[in-house]
Parts: sequence; structure tokens; C-alpha cells
Amino acid sequence: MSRTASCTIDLAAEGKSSGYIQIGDSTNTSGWANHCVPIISIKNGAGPRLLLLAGNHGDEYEGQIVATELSRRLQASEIRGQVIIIPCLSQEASQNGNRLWNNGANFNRIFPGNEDGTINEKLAFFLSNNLFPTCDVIVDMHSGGRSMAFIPSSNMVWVSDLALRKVMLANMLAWNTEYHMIGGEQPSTNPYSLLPGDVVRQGKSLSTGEFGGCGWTTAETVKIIRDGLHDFMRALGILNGEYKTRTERGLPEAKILDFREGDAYVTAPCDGIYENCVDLEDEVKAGDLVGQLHDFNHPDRKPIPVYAGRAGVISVVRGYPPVMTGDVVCTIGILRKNIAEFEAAGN
Amino acid sequence: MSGTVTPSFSLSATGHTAGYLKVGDSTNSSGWATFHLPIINLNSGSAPKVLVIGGNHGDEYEGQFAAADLAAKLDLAKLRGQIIVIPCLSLPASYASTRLWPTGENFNRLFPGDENGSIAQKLAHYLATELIPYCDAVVDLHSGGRGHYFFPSGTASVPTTGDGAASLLDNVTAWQTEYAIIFPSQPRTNVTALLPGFAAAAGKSIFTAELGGAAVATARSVGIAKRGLAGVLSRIGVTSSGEDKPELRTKKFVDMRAPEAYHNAPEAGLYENLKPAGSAVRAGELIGRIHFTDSPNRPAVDIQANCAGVIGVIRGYPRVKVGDCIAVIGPVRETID
Repeated sequence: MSRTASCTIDLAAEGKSSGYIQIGDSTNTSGWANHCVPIISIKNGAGPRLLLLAGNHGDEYEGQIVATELSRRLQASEIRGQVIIIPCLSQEASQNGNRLWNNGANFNRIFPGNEDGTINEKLAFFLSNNLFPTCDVIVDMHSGGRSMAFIPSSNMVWVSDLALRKVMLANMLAWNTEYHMIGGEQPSTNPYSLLPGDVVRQGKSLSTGEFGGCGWTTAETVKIIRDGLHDFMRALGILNGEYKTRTERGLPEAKILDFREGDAYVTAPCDGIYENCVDLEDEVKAGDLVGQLHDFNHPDRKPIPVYAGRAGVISVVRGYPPVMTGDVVCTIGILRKNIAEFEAAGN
Repeated sequence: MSGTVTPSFSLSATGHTAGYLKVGDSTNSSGWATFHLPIINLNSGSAPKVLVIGGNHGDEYEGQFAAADLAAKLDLAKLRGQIIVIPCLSLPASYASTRLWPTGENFNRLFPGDENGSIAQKLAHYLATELIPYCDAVVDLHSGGRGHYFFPSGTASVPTTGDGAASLLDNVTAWQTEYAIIFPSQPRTNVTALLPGFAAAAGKSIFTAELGGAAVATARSVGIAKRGLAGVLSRIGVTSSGEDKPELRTKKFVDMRAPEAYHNAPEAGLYENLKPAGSAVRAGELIGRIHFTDSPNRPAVDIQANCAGVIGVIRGYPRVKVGDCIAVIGPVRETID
């Protein structure tokens, strides 16, 4: 248990309460300071305990908007069990329109945190030690941030633990988005340093998604994440109201974008200003033009074409146009028309 | 005449010439330095002469891509005059993905520039004294930048009096966008400090557009920019591409001249767009909300439409301060008086 962070509300209390996770701090402008992260608890008797997280990255606003809205609106009478909401984990990054904290920390790479570290490390330690072990289900809502736009969708990592995979798959499908993305683990990254990785390490039920991006929000992306979250909470039996699958609503089955293997990531071959030549959901063949890199410093230099490494569906496009060599400029998922076809196609 | 900016080639050269506007500079890291601004000259040796500008603001990329594409790909066999292209006018701002130059200068407020000022002021002075006077028409490509997203549209800032309005309203239909957005002269601003305002005062034919925004250029918005630019050049008659067909011209105007068109944030917070750009709304209809992520108990502040019309502009960057513009709405008209 953390000795450097605590919660101002009793998370075991029935009804609705709100307060802060307080982390001891001492800064140039404030001694005996507390870094305050808003937290809201809504509890109605026995049932699953859901922890809803947004703003893991500061410039991913879609989840912050729906989590803030839910914090205000949700009443204990509308649920069974408990919903704990942290609408904005990386407060200062969100205020500044940044992915990262002011000290450069990526909140999604510092787990399991450090009780005696920086503010963000102390917060991660509190989540990992005080909150995750007491919760049944943890939701971490993302979007592309300033650099990327995703087809808004819930997604998952195709974990090797079969029992966990089954739970995460059911969670992912419960959002009822038109697409879902399923990937392998991120290369050259310690998966347990990510918030979702720490949740998985603790054997907890996890659900994540990427619901838009580019450091802004549209009416369409916020509607998708809001509707999806309500469906997910109904599927868990936490939120009142009948849960219906896409099929039960007469909608086509969710399409799966498969990122388990191959050349899913298209990267910039050189520095430049990147122009998207394809839009989200476009189908491409291997060798198709997906974008071009401009060198605005040289008027006679032709743009450098960037080609698809494989056939598939454009799942992510570039947001922030100035790119450096190696930056991801788009991703191409292999389309599986439903989860059965996805499972048949791989291991 | 400018003594501090010189082009690397003669503007009277015919064919395709690519080079630089060279601006004398001297910096901490480089004495006897020369700032290089790329410029491309496409010239068949006759009139009309057209200046095409992308990147007046650095983080407005749609026009930069469209202008670069024009400079690289125009078929000289279809050229009937001269097109001078500056694909990325605020070069350092474009690479930094900011509206303003690293010095804090807004290039679109610097006119008539200063021969002995900053790099941006020297460039503005060169445009004001040499390039703009040399040309018959000026095309200035904009979008919303990081702060805003425009429903991609040709635009015209129409003066309330004077005979400039008729030609601006005619020009704006050449962009072939679903709507043309009609602005008033910008309040509390010297209009001739702006590039298009300066060029209009100099008697030039003006074509401006807002082709998307939110500092992200999608294939769709860039496509609209490229097609619109082709339509404009065809209208001017500097290309023989035949792309200014009457049936493709813009037929509907969104009139943003009334003060109530502009919606400003009454509180600092996290702004949520509730309507897509281009949607029709009634007066009083909910169009957005300001959330307070640092005090989630606090009710969101609802933003209602001041007037009926089409939402031409929505918010890009969601963190807003008091007074930030979050939406612009105007009625749709078939004609503008």
C-alpha cells in the first residue's frame, strides 16, 4: 500500500461521493503541496467493481469527456455494484494539450510505479497497489492523441493466457463498435510497464480502446465512445438496462482488424511533412500509395512516396504532419469479417 | 523594391524554374546566413500572372500540399500565363506545426512588412512591394490550423461598402466547395495588415479558402484543396484545364457577417463539439459543452447556437480559455447582398 498517496473519499461507502487522490508534493511555488487527481465513486450494494480511467495520455480527450460526463450524471440507483471513475489521470498533460507530463514522463510506461518517485510514478504506484487489486474490471480509454487518428474501436492484445484472452475478448466485443483491432504485443517495449499490462499482470479483467485521435474530438467520435461505454457497462451487469449485441440490434457483426503479424506499421523513410493520401477505412493493396513526404525546404525535390507494405484496411492515419524517420504514418490491418474468421486465421 | 530579399532566378524566366527567395540573416549559430524560402515559377511568358500561397499560417497543411502538388505536377502545355507558387510561406512554423513563426509573428498581420525588420517582415515587404504588384491575382490557401476545423470552403471577406464585393463573391464560387463562407471584415483588425487584405487594396483579384483544419490534413480535405485550386486557376484563365465548369461552381453561401455568428467560450475548460461541421442547427440548439476535468462535480456549461444556420467552424484544440472561438454559424443564402 502506498504511503505517499491517499484517497480523500471512502471507496467502500455506499452512494455517490467525489474527492481526490492526493499525492504529497513540494514545489518551487508550493511547500506542503498536494497534487490532486479527481476521483468519483458510485456504489449500490453488491456487484462487480469497475475502475474507469481516462486521460492516461493527456491529449486523448474523447475518454476524458465521457468519463467527466458520467462522473456528473451517473447515480447509484442506476447501477448495481460500483463504478470508480478517474476522468483525467494526466491532468497537466491534458491542460497543456500534450501526450506526456511536463517532466517528459509517459504515464503509460511507468508501471508498476514508484512510491518514492515523481508525482506520476507515485500515482502509478497507488493505482497498481491500492486500486487495481480491489477492482474486478479496469477500463483504460485511449485515442490517437495529436499524432494519430484511429478508426474508433475497442481493442485488445491477443494475450497467450487463454483464460485471460477469453475475458478480454468478451470485454472488447461488448463495446459494440463497428470495428475492433487485435494486435500482438508492442515491439521493444516491456508490456508490464503499460497500465493495461500491469492490470493483466495482476490477473484482472481489462478493456481498452482507441476512440479517435488527432488531439481533438468530433461529435462522431465522442458518440461512439459514449455509446460503447454504456453498452460495456450493461454487458457487465453494472449499468441498468438491457444489453443487446450488434446482431440482436440487426447490425452486421463487428469487423476485426488483425495486427497479430506482418507489416502492419508503415513508417516514414525520412524526415519531412507527411501528407495522408488515404483515409481511415480505405482498402489498399501491397504497393499502393498511402502518403507522401514533402521537403518544403527544397522546391525542386519531388515528394517521397510512401507505400503500403501489405494489403488491408487503413486503421490509423497520421495526425501531426511533421515526421521524423521511423515515425509511424499509418497502420494497415488485415480485415477479418468477424471474430470466427479471425480465430480461424491465426493461432 | 527590396534590398534585403532577392529571388535566385528572374521572374521573367519561362518554363518551370524552382529556386529560393533569399533573405539576409545573421543568427547565433550562423553569420552571413541566408534564409531560403522555396519559390517555383511556372511561366508561359504571357498574362495573367497569379501568385499562389500555401502556409501563410504554419499549421494549415491542406493548402501547402495542394500548392506543392501544383508546383510539381502542373502540365506546362496547359499553362496560359504565369503562376508563381510559394508552397510554404511560414516555413519554420510549418515544421514546428504552429500557426505563428518561432518569433511569435503572425505572417497574416505583418503587411506591408518592413525591409529592415525580422525575416518574416522582410518577406512580407518583398511580397508587398514586388510579388503582389507584379501579379494580377493572388490565391491564399488557409485552413483552421490547430484551433479550428472549417467545413472545407472557399471564403470571401466582404466589405460592407464598395465595389470589391461583387468580384470577391464571383471569385469564391470557383473553389467548387459545397458552401462558400462569407465573412465580414475582421473586427478590431487593420484589414490591409493581412496578405489578402493588402492585395485587395492593391487592386488584385483575390481567392481565399479555408480547407479543413485541426492541424490534421486528411486525404479527403487535401483532395478538396487540390480540386478547388485547379478550379480557381481555370477560372482565372491561367490554365486551360477546363475545370471551371458552371455546374461545378459553388451555389450556396453561408453568411457569417452577423456578430452573433461567432460563439465564444464563456469559461475555461474542455470543450466538446456536439455537432459536426456542416450540420444545420436551429437557434438555441445545443452545439457544445464545456467540461471541467479538474472538478468533475461541476455541471458542464452548455453552449447553444445564437442563430439558425449551418455550422461552418467547429473547435479543434479542445482546451479553451474564456473568449476563445468555439463555433461559427451562419444562415445559408443563395445570394449575398
